[in-house]
This record gives sequence, C-alpha cells and structure tokens, in this order.
Amino acid sequence: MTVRLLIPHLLRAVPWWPLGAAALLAVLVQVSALAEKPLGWAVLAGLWVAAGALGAGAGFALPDPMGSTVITPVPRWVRQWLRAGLVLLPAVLVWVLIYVGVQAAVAPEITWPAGFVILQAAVCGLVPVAGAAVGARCRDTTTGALAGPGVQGVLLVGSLFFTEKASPWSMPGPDGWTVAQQAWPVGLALVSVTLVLANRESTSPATD
Amino acid sequence: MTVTMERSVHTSPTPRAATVALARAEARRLWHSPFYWGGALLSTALGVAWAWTRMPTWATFAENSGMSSLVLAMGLLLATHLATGRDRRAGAEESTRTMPAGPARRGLAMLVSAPIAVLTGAAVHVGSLLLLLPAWPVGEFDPWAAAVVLVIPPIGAVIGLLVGRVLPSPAAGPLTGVALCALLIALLALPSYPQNYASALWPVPEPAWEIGAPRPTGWHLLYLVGVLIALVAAVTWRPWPKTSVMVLVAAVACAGVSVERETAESPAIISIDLVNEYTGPAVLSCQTHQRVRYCALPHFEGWIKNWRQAVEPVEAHLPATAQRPTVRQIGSSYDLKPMTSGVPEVVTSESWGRVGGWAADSRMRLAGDYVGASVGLYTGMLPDPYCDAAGQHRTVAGLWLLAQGLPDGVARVRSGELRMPRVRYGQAELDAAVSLLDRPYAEVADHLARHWAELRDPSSTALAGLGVTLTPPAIPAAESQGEPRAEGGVCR
Repeated sequence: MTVRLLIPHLLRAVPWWPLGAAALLAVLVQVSALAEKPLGWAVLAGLWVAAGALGAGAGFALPDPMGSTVITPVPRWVRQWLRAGLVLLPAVLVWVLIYVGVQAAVAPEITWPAGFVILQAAVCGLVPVAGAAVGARCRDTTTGALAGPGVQGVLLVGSLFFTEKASPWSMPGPDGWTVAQQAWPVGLALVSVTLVLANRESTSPATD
Repeated sequence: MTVTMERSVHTSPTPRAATVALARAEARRLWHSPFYWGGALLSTALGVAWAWTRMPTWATFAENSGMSSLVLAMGLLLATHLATGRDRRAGAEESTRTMPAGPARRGLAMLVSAPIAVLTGAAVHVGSLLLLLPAWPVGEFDPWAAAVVLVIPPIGAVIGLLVGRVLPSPAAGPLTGVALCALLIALLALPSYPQNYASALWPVPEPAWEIGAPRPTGWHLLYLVGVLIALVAAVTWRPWPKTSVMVLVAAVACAGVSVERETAESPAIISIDLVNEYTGPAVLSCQTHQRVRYCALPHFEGWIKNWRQAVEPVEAHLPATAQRPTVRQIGSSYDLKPMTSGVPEVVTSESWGRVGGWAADSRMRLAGDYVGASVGLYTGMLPDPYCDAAGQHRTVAGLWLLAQGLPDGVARVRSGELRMPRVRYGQAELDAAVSLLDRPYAEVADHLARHWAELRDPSSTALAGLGVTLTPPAIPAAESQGEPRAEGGVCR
C-alpha cells in the first residue's frame, strides 16, 4: 500500500530528462547497423554503448534530495529500489527494443551469441546504476550520481588495456569462454551486490 | 550623529585583471579535479600499455598517443563541464548574479582550461615516451601527426565549457561523452567509398597506407585546429559576438577545406610500383656485419642491432663457406622478388618485440627463418604456406643449427618445443636431430662444412655419414622448375 502511494510522487520527483536523452543517444548510436555493409564490432559496440548510456541516464534518478531528512515514513531501501525500478524498467524496455531492431536489421549477415551479449549489456548498464547508488548514499545531490558514469568510464578504459584474446569485449569462440569473458558473470554478481548494499537502510544521513 | 567615512584606497580591478584572476582560480580548481587527473593518468597508462610489447615507431606511437588522448579529452570535458555548471548548481545562481563578473567573463576565464589541456597533452605524450625508455621510436617523425595530442584534449575541454553553459546539470557531462562516442562509432559506419571522409573526420589520423608514404597529416591537424577555434569562438560569443561569429565561420570553413584536401590527397589506387617507391630495394639502407647483409627501411637502421642479436648466434654455427642469407625489412606490401637473384633472403617487418618474452619471441622467429633460409627450406616469399619437409636431411641440419644458436636450444629441440618454422615434419626428423646433438659438436660441424652444398638439395642424403637414415621424398617436377609450392606440397 505504501509503495503504491509512493509511486506517483516518485514519478514526479525523479528527473526524467537524463534517461530521455540517454534513450535518444542509445537509438542514435545504432546508426552503424543501418550501413550498407555493417561492421560486426561496430554493431555490437552500438548495443554496449546503448546499455551503458541508458544505465548512466538511469543512475541520475537515484540521489534523493530529501534523503537527509532521516525521519520518513518509508524506509530508505524501499525508496531507493522504487527509484531504481522506475527508471530501470523503461531503460530495459528501450534496450530490448533496440536489440530486437538491430538484430532484425543485420541478420543473417551478422550474428552473435545472444546470451553473452545480453550479459555484457546488463553489466554495462548496471555498473553506472550501482556507482550512482553508492554516490547517492554519500551525497544527496545529483553530483553524487556522477560516481556512476565515473566508475563506468574508468572500467571502460581499464578494459582497453586488454587486447585480442585477453579483451573482455571479444566474442566467445568454439573453445569456450576465456578468462576475460568469464569476468562478465562475476562482474554482474559484484554489481548486483553493490547495488543491494548501496540501497540498504542508512543509519546516518548523506551530506549534500 | 555624524559619521566620517574615509574613501577606500582600493580601486576596482579592470575587467582584464578580473578575468585573469578568475582564470587563475579556475586553473587551481582544475588542478585539483579528479576527472582531470584521472584522464591524464589513464591516458598515459593506456598509451604506454598499448606500446609495451612492440618496439615503438613514430607512426604507431603517434597513433597510440592520439587514441589515448581521447581519454584525456573526456576527463577534461567532465571537469570543465562541472566547473562551468557550478554557477548554476545547488542554488548558486542567485549568488553569482550579484557578482561583478557575469557569465560571459566567467566563460572567458574558463578558457584557461584550453592551454592547460594543451600542456597536459604534451606532458602525457612526453611522459609516455620516457616510460618506454630505453626503447626509442624509429621511422620518420611526423610533427603534424604528433601534434594531434596537443589539440584533441583542448577540444574536449572546450566542449565541456559549452555544454556546461547550456546544460549545467551534472548528468549533461557524461551524456555528452556518450554522444561523442556515438559520433565516433557513426564515423566508422560511414561508407569509405568513393570518398573516405570518415577517416578524415576521425580525430586521430590513420596510419599511412605504406611505411614512409606521405600522408596528409598537416591537413588533418588544420582540421582539428579549425574545430578547436570554432568551439572557442562559440565560448567567446557572449563578450564578442561579431568577432566570434566571423572567427567561427572562418574556422568551420577552414576545417571543411582541410577535410576535403586530406581526402583528396589519399591515393585511390595503390600499385606495387608505388609501394616499391617507399619500401622497395632501391630505398633500403643496407649494412653488412659479420658477412650478413641487413637491409632496413629508411629511418629503421636502429633496428639492425636487434636483428643482429637474433641472427649472429645461429650464423656463427654456419660453415665458413656457406652463403649468408640477407635480412631484409619489408613494408605492409611486398613484391615477393628477392633483391639479388640467387642470394637467399629473410624478410622481417615493421614489428619487433620490445622487452622480455616479446623480444625473445621476435629473435626466435627471425633466427628460425634465418636457419631455414640458410639450409634452403625458407624461400622468403610471402605468403608462404607450410610445406612438407619430412625426410629431408636439411630439416635435421636446421634443427641442429637452431639448437646451437638459441638459448636452451639443445634442451628445447630435444623436447620438441623448438621447431623449424614454416615447415611440417615428424618425430623421425626430430629423433635424427637429437642423434646429431648426441654427437660431438666438432664432428657434426665439420661434416656440415664438407657437405654443405649437397645438404641444401632436398633430395640429398648428406647426413648419412652421421648416421641419419631418413629417406628423402621424391621432389615433384613442377615444383623443381620453380613454381610456387602449394599448400601441403613437398618443400623443394
């Protein structure tokens, strides 16, 4: 009941424009799929960037400007998960639509292991959300959510240190997953745990 | 009550002095920005990591530095966006409106980030060079290509300023970064025919189509400078609208013309004659050391010492009368013709391992090819499919030479770990090589010297005197007449 009462208020309180702009960029980045002869890696990069952009945009909904007000009738974890859920649902929906559209546009010339790419996209999208959740725990303002894209950027650049078979961005071959590719499910687990811990009840208010 | 107030002795600062003071304050704040330092450190580390395994050339170093400077540009974009948006975040606008320096002047002061970005780009470039010491790039130094790292970071910084002025929300910075990523990916998706505008618009100039070939990097730098000036003009639009508009239009026109010229100067058709103008025998720089001739591409003479380290340990075990193959460096294309007819040739490329295992691997590959060419197994032609060297005595002699010349060679040949490159053979040849290694060195070396010319013949049984009982295969007539050896064919 409390949740149902809270949703309309949160729908008004959450800043939607970052997610809207991210959704627009996520669509625009798929231009490589429309090329006459699309490049496989460029198409996949478009899907990864789309997931990362949507996650980065969604993360800005997590800082609660009234979070410093400790005395509230609803626990923090409920409010934070509601905020996350409200933006993640449309973000996931947009990405799924993009995925289906891109797949239809480039098939059968370009194919990929669907489960692996979806796993990669999930990590790309959830890393900024988890980072923003940690940032929102420390700081109530939208500046706190910058931790999400910040962590995302560092991890992205960090992945570029690994090339060829050591790169986590390569697709699995017939010999199975490499060590770098096995890092994706581990990353998903770590990101999920981080999100759970960051959204839990806080004993002290965040600073602004 | 009457109050007497003294006139203040402090005069109001001039607008110029106020701007300079603001610029100093912004420079100090930028100096403490984690985005600035994160971008600089990641950019340096990335440039060094990409160049770590291979000996640097100026072309590869400029490309790596250019690509890593995109990371610095992104860090600067986030830092300057936050700095510009500071005026309008957290209710600060009410306070900043009362200050004597308005948004236009503060925007001008924020431009201090551009020279800081230039200096940081230079520092990252030099720092990467120093971290790669003692390896120093070879090849022809292109100052225009190197200068790209001075222009890309300030472009990122000024984009951050512009976006921060229009969209001060913290979310706008990262989303601008995503938009730029989308733009870069879109450039890769653009068709490259009939005009390859996409590669001209890509921030980092692409490598030359052949080593030493001219590339329009001057036009590319002019294009980037045009973009930077156009962005700066957009920042200065508020204080100087008329001048800024004129500068902006001129800069955009300059950038457009530069892209057009850069595209027009790239060759549409590349022939082997054109390739030979830059990497053919006529331009090679040759030196002879210990009877071995080394021919390097122009400006690559510094690598001859690396090739000597690979070749001389195995060359020392060749008979004195044996002809020494030439070591020749080739570019990305090759006409497959030897420089001197009748003189075997080993080709090496513009790639060489820089340190540790990568350098050892390069040495081992060249040494293997050199032994192969010495015994007549390796013709130096590329692409060179693996041929069947089973039963041939020169395969056994080659393995013996490799064992003598490479570190731990004897043990590695015995274990089967060290093999003759580019040929296929079996356990019988390996066992025969081990039997040679069991004999005294002087006995085998003396036998090779006396039967060297015979040994190079694929159908000979030159090592029979040392107990090698392998039976050479029949050599197909067509191959004996000089036709290229086919995949799976017998080595001739």
